[in-house]
Formats: sequence, structure tokens, C-alpha cells
Amino acid sequence: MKQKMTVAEKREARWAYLFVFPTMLGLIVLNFYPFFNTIYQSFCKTGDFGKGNKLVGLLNYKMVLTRAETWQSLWNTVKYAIIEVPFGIVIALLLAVLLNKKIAGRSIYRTIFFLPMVCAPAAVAMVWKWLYNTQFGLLNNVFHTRIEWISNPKIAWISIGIIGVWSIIGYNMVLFIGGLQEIPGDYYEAASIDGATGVRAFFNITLPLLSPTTFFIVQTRIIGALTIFDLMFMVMDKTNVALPKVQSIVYLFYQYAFTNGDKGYGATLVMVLVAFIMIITFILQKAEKHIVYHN
Amino acid sequence: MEGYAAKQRRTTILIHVILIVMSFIMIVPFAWMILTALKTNQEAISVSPFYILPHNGWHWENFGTVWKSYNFLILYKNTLLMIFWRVVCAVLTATMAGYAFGRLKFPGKNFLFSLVLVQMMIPAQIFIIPQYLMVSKMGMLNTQFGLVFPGLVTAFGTYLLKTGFEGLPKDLEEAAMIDGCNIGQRFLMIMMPLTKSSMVSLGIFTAVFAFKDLMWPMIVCTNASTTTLSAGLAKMQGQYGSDYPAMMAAATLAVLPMIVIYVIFQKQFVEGIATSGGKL
Amino acid sequence: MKRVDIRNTMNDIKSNTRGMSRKERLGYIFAYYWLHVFGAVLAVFFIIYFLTHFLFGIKENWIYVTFTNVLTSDEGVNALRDDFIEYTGYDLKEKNVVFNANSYFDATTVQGTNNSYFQAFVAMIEAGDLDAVIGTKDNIAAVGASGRLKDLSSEEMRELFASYSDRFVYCTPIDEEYSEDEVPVGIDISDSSIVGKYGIYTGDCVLGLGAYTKHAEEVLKFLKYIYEDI
Repeated sequence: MKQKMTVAEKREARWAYLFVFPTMLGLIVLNFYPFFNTIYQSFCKTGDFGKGNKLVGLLNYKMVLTRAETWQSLWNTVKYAIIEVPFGIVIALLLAVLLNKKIAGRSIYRTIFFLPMVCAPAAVAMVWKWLYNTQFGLLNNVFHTRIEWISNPKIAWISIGIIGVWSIIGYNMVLFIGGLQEIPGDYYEAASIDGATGVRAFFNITLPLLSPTTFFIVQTRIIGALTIFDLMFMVMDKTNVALPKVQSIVYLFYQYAFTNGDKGYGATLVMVLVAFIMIITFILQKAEKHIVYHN
Repeated sequence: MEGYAAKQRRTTILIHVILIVMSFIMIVPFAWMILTALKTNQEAISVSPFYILPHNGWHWENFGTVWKSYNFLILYKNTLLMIFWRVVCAVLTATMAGYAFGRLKFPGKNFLFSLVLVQMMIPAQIFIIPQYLMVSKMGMLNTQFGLVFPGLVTAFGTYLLKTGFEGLPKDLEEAAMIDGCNIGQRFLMIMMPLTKSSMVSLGIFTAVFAFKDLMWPMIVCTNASTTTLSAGLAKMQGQYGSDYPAMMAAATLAVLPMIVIYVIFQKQFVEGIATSGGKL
Repeated sequence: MKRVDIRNTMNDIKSNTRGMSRKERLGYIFAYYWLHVFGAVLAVFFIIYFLTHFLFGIKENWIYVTFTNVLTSDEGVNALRDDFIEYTGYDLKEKNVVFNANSYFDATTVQGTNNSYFQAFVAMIEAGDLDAVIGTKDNIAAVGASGRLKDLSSEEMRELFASYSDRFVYCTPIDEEYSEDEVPVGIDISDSSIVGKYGIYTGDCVLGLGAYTKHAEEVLKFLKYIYEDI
């Protein structure tokens, strides 16, 4: 049973549509039009040598869902997310809370943590190769070990996950600092009168009041980690035996759609990935009411 | 009371120790980039665990050579302009949409917001070809508009700002409503200033991604005079693929304006302190 | 609530600024309506910008050629472009001639294609903007194998490039359904002026046509040019 909207509600809705219009128009033109194209392509054998698309029904889906490499790369991506999301968030939260205190040199610290974001990718790759190299690497030489950081399939996914955590800390930290600024200062004043400072204030005030921001970061990082593309190729060569155990599903898509020119098959991989992320997002959004504190 | 002060000092020292250790971990690649820029190529490509500083003198002239071989001023100008427009567009559209999603009620809200979420799930690689086609058909290749085009709106930013608006206390807006402000005025005068921190975060994100974006400038701007730093310098990587010192010197020069922008932006974080409006 | 429209606003401004000098009046308008003024100016600017652009600004290409993996300086490519324009008499005011030498990838491996250059290259081919691509034999054959180049044995191409058939470079398509035999996708131009006079490449080089090109005849002109000029 739907109630008729009042005048005030109608006015509110009009404003709302005006506000979302630019964004929605942009998203539809820039992103959803290409996405619908991709959906269509996933049912096609796409044209080679300038020939058009040919509808083949569910053939692509049948192939994608029955091939082991699809599930292997999906599993690799999930494993990566399991490392990157929690560690990247906890470390960034810790840093953001420390950097939100009035301490000496705060601006300098904040700038240093920002540097990895704008550092040349080639330099980042060189450093990690220098760290991870089995023979000449810093890690093995300092600890006098012979660990094959990136060529042992059992270890490689952790090594790659560490690079992921390292690269994402700065981003998460910026978001956390932004969220911390929006916590009203008088909450802390009231709490310190009650004797809650330091660690107790963190758990009693900061964490609950920051939970919307934290939820946002968890949600976007899960999506981000599952759509990770070529992080692993920063340090791994194509001859690396551990490659099949770490390559992500987006990379598999790239291999088919771009390198091999089989756009239909690539599009189907994208559809599988999007469906997978949708399920996780749906669960998360349903759970939001229970884990996020709203004042 | 003395015990309290001593405890306070210990905490401060501990905080600094943690921050310095983390700073060291985070700064390594950046330091590496600058140190490599000062080496000879032979040194740069040698693999050795403890061989970090330049041994055959510090080659500061690498910077000069790179500066002369590229028209950095034009590249800076193009890049900064692109960053400026992308930040303005993204923050503007995302703040408006974020306010609607976070504070207003309207039919179809959940559906439209789920579209925003879905956009983030789609791998960005599938947008390349259609977006290029659009810019090409509009005849906007090699223009500033072409560079900004994919950054006109942002799903990530919309979600971020929605979170920011949702967190604001209700009573502020109610007071304004009683004062007879319409929704537009409420948004502009009261709500928007309170989400400054989220807007700054989004600004930083947009700027960083615009700066790092390599593929898009490469596609839409084939002219050396219209392209951006990332794409302009990639040309060097292709041409002199193994000249690491030159590459790193160029990358260092490219990054300088970004650091300046960040330092200015992050100051805004400190100022944007919100209060709950007096009531607890 | 009062309706906000232009007439009401104008009346407000008029009644509130009665008796002010022009300067004061402008100051008043700016103080209270700066956002409106700013928005209006921006809107007018964009409307004019886009109108002039769409009416006069859109230019198509005569021909678009990508030179992959050029390791020499750009001078050779630029000289070739100038000479070619002179040879054909293209009017650059009407359409553009693009010779793009900023493209570095190795299509023979998955990793060699994992860069922005290759993505840009693919986008240009699929958009139909790229007419011809020049590179090493292996590179062009690998691009051809993914079905992104014209099949030179197809009906529309066969006649056009018949005189170059002894120079054809073949590849085996990844897509077995298309053809199990080898397909000609490139023309070997290692003995042309591209290598000789202009010195853009030092070793072998091959030309292929983008699968969606509309300027096959211009590419033919280009081929004639680089051979007549030796």
C-alpha cells in the first residue's frame, strides 16, 4: 500500500533528483553504457578481423564456469583480499589515530605517508624486487635465509599481499583522517570528564563514531581488492612458476579480452566477477545496520 | 600529578617511535627513486642487497639533463589543469549526489544508489574502448575536455560523501528548516561546510588518481603539447627503457607539484573540525 | 515558501538597491548572488565553447599510422610525415594526419601487452581510428593473430593490395573458427624508405591495417610513397 506523497515530500524529492542528476547522467553515459555493451558481448562470439559479433547464447558462460583457471584466479583474488583488506585497514586506522593527536611534526609524518601514493611505479617495483630477490635480496641477506619470496607458490601470495597492504595504507589513512575530523570534539571532552582517555576513549568513542567511515573503507576496499589487476606483475616475471597461483581474475580477463582479442569470453569473466562481488556487497549492505553506529 | 605527566611523556615517545618506524617503511621507494636519479646507469642496474647509495659521486646533473630534454613547463601546466578540473567536477557532483543519498528521501533512492555501488565493481578496463570512442566521436581528442572526460563524475566520491553526510547530527538541519531555509540553502550554507573533511579526502584521491592516470592521457592526447606528465614521461621509458637514472630523475621532477598540492590540502584537514552542535 | 524565480529575484534586487550608485549596486549583487553569477558565467562559457567546437572544431583524419617500438628519436617520423603530406597534398585544415610514435609493447607475450600503450593501441583499433600499424614481424603477426588487423586475403582487401602479395606476412589466428590456415595480416616493408632514408627502424619492419579502418586506400598511398621515394 503506497501512500500519496505530501507537498513537502514532493519538494524534497525534486531537490534530490536535481542533486543526483549530474552524477547519474555521468555514470550512465561513462560507465553503464559500456557495461551493458559488455553484458551483450558476453553472449557473443565477438568479431575477429573486423567481422561483427555473432550471438552464441550461453556458450561463453559454459566455458568460463567449467574451466579450472577461472576458479583458480577467483580464489587467488579472494586470498589477496583476505590479506590486503584487514591489514591495510587496521594499520591505517592506527596511523590515522596517532596522526590525529596534536604531536610535533604531524604535517611531516602525514606527508611522508602520502609519498608512496605518488611515487613512480617503476621505483616501487625496483624496491620490492630488491627486497624479495632470493639471491641478492635484502630480506634474505639480512636474515640469512633462502626463502623464495615470489617464486614459491605457497609463499608468493603472502608476499604479494604485503605489497598490496603497503600500497594501500596511505589511501586508507587519508580517509580515516577525514573521518576522524568529523567526530565532534566535545564527545572527547565529555568522555575525559568521565575519566575515559587514551585506549578507553578509542574503543568507547572513536571506534563507534568512526564506524561509518570504517564501513565505507571496508566496503570499497573489498571491491577494490577483488578487482585488483596487475599488482603481482610488478615483481613477477612471466617465467615465474608461482604465477598461476597468484594471477587475479581481472588479469585473466585482460589476457583474453586484450591480448588474445576474445572480447566475448573476457566479458563473461567480468560478469562472473561482478556477480561474485555483488553477492558480497549485498550481504555487507544488509549487515550495515547492525555493525555501524548511527547517532 | 607527576606520575601522570611522566606517563604522558612515555606515550608520546612511543607514538613517535611507531610513526618513525612506519615512516621509514613508507619512504623507502621514494628515497630509492631520488638515489637512483643520482647514480650512473651502471650502478642503478646492479643488483646487490646493501648497495644503496651512489658510489661514483652524486650525479646531480641528471636532473638538468632531463629537464632540458623535456618541456616540463607544458607538461606541468597540462597536468595541473587536468587535476584542477577533475577535482572540481568530482567534488561538486559527488557532494551534491552524496547529500541527496545521505540526507534526503526520494523514490528510487535505493535503486540509484545500488547503481553507484555497481559502478565500483566493474573492472575499469572495460571502459577504455567505449570512452575513447565517445571522445573520438565528439572530436575532443587532444583537448583538455578529453582529458577530464572520464573524471566528470565519481561513484567512489558519491559513496564517500554520502557516508560523510549521514554522520552529521540531525538537529542542525532541523533548526535551519524552522528558519525557513529551503533544501538548496540548507545544503549550501549548513551541510556542505560540515563535510569539508570528506571533500578534502576526495580532492586528494581525485588528484592522486588523475596524476597517476597513464592510460587515458596516452589514448586521448597523442600530441606532445597536450599530454600530461605521466604520459609524457612514459615516452622516455619506452625510448630509453634501460636508462634508470634519467627515468627516476624525471619521475622525481614530476612528483614535486603533487607534494606541494598535498601539503596545502592536508592543512585543510586540521581546520575542518566539526562539533555536534552543543547537544550530546 | 516564496517561489524562487528570476523575476522575483530581479524585483528583490531592484527594491533593495534603490538609491544606490552603480558601483554599490554591483557590489550588492556580487555579495548576495556571487554563486549565481559564477554559475551563469560558467554555463555561458561552456555553451559557447562546445558550440564553437562542434560547429567548427571537429576534424577527421586523412590517415592515422602508429609506429610501435620506435627506439630512435622522433625526427625520422616527423620528417616522414612532412614529406608524405607534401607528396599527397593533404589539406591539413580539413583533416589531420597523425603519425604516432609513442607506442611500446610486445604483443607476443601476455606481459608485453600489460601496459597502457597496448590498451591505448587496442582502443584506437576498435574505435576504427587507427589505419595502419608498423612494427617488427613478430609483433605485427601477434597482433594479427588476435584478429585486430585486416585479413589481406579477404575480398575487399585482396584487390587493393594485390601488388604487394609477395611481401605478405602471415599469422595463425588464435580463433580457430575463423581459419585454421595461416592468414596474411602484414606487408613486409623492410626495404622501404622507412628503414632507409628516414631510419626509423633498423631491422625488419612490417605494416598491418587496423581491422576497422576506413582508409585502406590512404594506406595504399602511404605504401606507394615509401617505395617510390627510395
